[in-house]
Amino acid sequence: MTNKIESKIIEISATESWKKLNIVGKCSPKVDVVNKVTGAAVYTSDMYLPRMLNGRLVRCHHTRARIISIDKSAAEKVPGVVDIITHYDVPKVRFSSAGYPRETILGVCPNVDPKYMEDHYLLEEELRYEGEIVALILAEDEKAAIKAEMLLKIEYEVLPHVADTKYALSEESPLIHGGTGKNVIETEISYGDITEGFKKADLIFEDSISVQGQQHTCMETSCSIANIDPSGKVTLWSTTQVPFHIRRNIHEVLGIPMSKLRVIKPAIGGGFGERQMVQNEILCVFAAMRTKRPVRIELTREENIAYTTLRHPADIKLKTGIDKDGKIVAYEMYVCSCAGAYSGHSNYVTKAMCTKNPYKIPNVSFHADITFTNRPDSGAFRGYGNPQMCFARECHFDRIAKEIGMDPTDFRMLNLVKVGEPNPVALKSDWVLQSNGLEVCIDEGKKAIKWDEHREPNGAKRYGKGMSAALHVTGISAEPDFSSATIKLNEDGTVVLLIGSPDLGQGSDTVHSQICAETLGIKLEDVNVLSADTDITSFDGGSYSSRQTYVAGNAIILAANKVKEKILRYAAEMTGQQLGNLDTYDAWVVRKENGRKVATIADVSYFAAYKAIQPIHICESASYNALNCPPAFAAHFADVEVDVETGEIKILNFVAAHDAGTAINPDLVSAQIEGAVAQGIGYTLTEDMIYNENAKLLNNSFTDYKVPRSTDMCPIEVIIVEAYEPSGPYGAKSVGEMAVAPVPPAIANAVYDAIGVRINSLPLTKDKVLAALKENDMLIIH
Amino acid sequence: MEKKYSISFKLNGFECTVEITAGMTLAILLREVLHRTGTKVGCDIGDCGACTVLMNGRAVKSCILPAMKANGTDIITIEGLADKDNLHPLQKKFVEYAAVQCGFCTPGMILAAKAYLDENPDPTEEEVRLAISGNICRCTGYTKPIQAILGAAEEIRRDSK
Repeated sequence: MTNKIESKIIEISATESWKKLNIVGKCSPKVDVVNKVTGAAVYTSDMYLPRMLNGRLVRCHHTRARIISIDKSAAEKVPGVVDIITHYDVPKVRFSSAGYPRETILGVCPNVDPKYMEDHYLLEEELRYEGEIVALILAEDEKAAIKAEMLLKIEYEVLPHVADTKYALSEESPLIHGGTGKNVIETEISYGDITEGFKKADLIFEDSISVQGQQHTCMETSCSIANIDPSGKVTLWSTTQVPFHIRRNIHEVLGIPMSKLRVIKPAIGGGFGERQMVQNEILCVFAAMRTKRPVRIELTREENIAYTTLRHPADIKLKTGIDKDGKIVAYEMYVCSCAGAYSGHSNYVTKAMCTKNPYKIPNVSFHADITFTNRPDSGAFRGYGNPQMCFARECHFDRIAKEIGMDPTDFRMLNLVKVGEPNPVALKSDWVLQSNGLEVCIDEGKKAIKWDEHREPNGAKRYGKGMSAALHVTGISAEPDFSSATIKLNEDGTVVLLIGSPDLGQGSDTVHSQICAETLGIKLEDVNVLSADTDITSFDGGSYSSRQTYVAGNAIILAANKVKEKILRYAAEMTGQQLGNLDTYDAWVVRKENGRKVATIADVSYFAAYKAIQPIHICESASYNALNCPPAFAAHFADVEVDVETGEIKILNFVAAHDAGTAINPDLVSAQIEGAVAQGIGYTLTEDMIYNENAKLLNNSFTDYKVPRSTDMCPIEVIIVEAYEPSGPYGAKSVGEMAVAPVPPAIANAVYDAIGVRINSLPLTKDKVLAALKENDMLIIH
Repeated sequence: MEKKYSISFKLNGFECTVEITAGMTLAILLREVLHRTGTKVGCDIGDCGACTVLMNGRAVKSCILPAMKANGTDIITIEGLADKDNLHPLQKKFVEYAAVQCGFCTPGMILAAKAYLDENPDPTEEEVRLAISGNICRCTGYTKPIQAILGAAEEIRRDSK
């Protein structure tokens, strides 16, 4: 019998009353899943509108060049070509390609120079990376557009370029953003006194570690479709995580009032942070307005891999001082991150590397050189700075533990942050940590991976186990961070839940429906959820920072309680019972003291609409301002086999123990963890962005850019630890991003355990394993 | 005017005759001409498997298959897998086992699994892994889809007894 794999769930605390949770905590199937398994779900790229123009992006073939002139005359004459848009045609308004409003930017990075806040024009005169967009050709079909591209005469002045961060930091490198003085944005964060801290240290350790770029490779490539109706109303469908940010950016750049602009996120084939950026939405709307025709801009897979944002490559130096007991007394981080050509998310991602740290350390110093290069932008990617630093830190700490003769799990236990201590991820407030299940994660993970059992070498095969610990934010960890929810009660007692943060496939619509149904006391199937449509759903910043369950979830509770209050008021009028004695549960109005059924919510809803003295439509909205950013925690354990003849690393078993707070839907929690571990395994072993000396990506297909396939994956054992979070909806925190970060160090530490050699850069390729063995005279040569 | 060719084939059980142009792929025919957008295109070069459909019962990648090749064949897309009232066991198990996240790879993966289970109704986990190795999924890590396929195989075996 093939049973569905149930994750082990460890509950840390819960509340008791007759009113057991009815919907929260259940593995309900996702609300959108039937449409997805039958092919009925409509994604942006599935929409083909009548008279729709094909938008072809013309890209720069130079690594860096300035446009001197563009002659469109021959290209425009190609039959079927309707319009060609270049930088001469677009409004000269700068915007933040990160999508954020100024207030969020200032909340996260209060000292950021304003010139880096709004980093882009719609189309640039100077192209700063190979593949940057020069023009948009709008044609009846692709063939005409391709022909036009060949006839488009573009005269460039080729400029000296900067291919990598090492050159960018050198004195002789040309300035990518002339006039800024250098190719670097510097950022510093410090707590305590680092100099005094190192004076107190009995031992000091230093390591240099580097990580590569990684592509999201969402299965649906980036796609925008814009339509304009004769009244001037624009509708945009987009593969976006941030419909409301996109609406604001279009409004600001093109000057369209928000009332004339509707942004819809249909079903979407992945997000992972790639779609937290402004993609080609503004250009698409601009083109539709110019041509008065529907316009589609869809990236090819090659464009999507080469030219959309990637995880920041980084060179990291760590220096840690510990006392004689193994307590960390001083911790110094230096990061050189590759921003690419524009600042985008680089300020925030790089800064986030400092704070996503599950340990209590009194003296911390962080310095980052966020470095411009003539490469496509680095940006937001699941984990947002966490995977890079987590790899460096957890390998570094593993070395420290091993060198002082301490078990790596004990070293973590000794140093981890505890409930009641300052929340390590809070950037600018006195938030306190209110829940932490990391100790339980470590204990349970150790048992599951059989931490103390060791395997003897077998021929060329060596065996080892490694672990890592991490935390991740639940929300953006700075103010303001808020969500809103709207709930409309239908006359039959069912509801419409309108949410502005899009479901990207992670299942936020389902989790939100569960929170709504639980709070309102109705059945899950009675919630009809919609996300996200700027004309219909209430405002939300979007789906990023692992914030939907917590921030939007809390907004839903507030709105549902308002709806419930109205239902009870009408129930009291309908039944003659006292308002104070009534509650709702499982689609019924019940007696508060014992749960005895009084009337169905369906009857009360009908009464409120048609029979009451003052009939009303019960519809409530609420906003929730995040009052904390409770981190989720995780400990990962890998059991590996390394072949010292071939350098091949095989993961035999992987355990991911996660404190996500209450699991609103345990199936979706384990689904998030399994998927993130797979992305982490790809990042660790096979995924690498390989550029030539002109900063042109050489591996822009699934053939050459190796994301894990089913045959590359190992068994993943998920352990869910529910450390109840008082500020969370039903005690929930986050899980979406968390599980990528601890994967690479768990595997790398296991590899060290197996072969006794450390490899200080990702990915851990066969070549690197063999080179490391050779360097240490451990290579077996027959 | 581009030259058009007429082809006929069975699509999800119904005979259909359409005009195609030279160079048109089966994926474009299905999606843009016949509006069966359940068939997805993830890479357009046969790498990712999102475009997988069944041709005479075999899984084929429709993004690299000339539409012309469909002439005279029996094509099943994801829209044709369930009967009117019931999901196919594979679809049921993908729902039940939370094997769907963004869902973009799901139609192709389910059809690849269908073709494989028709050949081998009692596969091991390793055989299922291999059977869907041509279908990239970026969301799930494959654990839940593999369990769903094994669960569906069992249900199909039980039902056919």
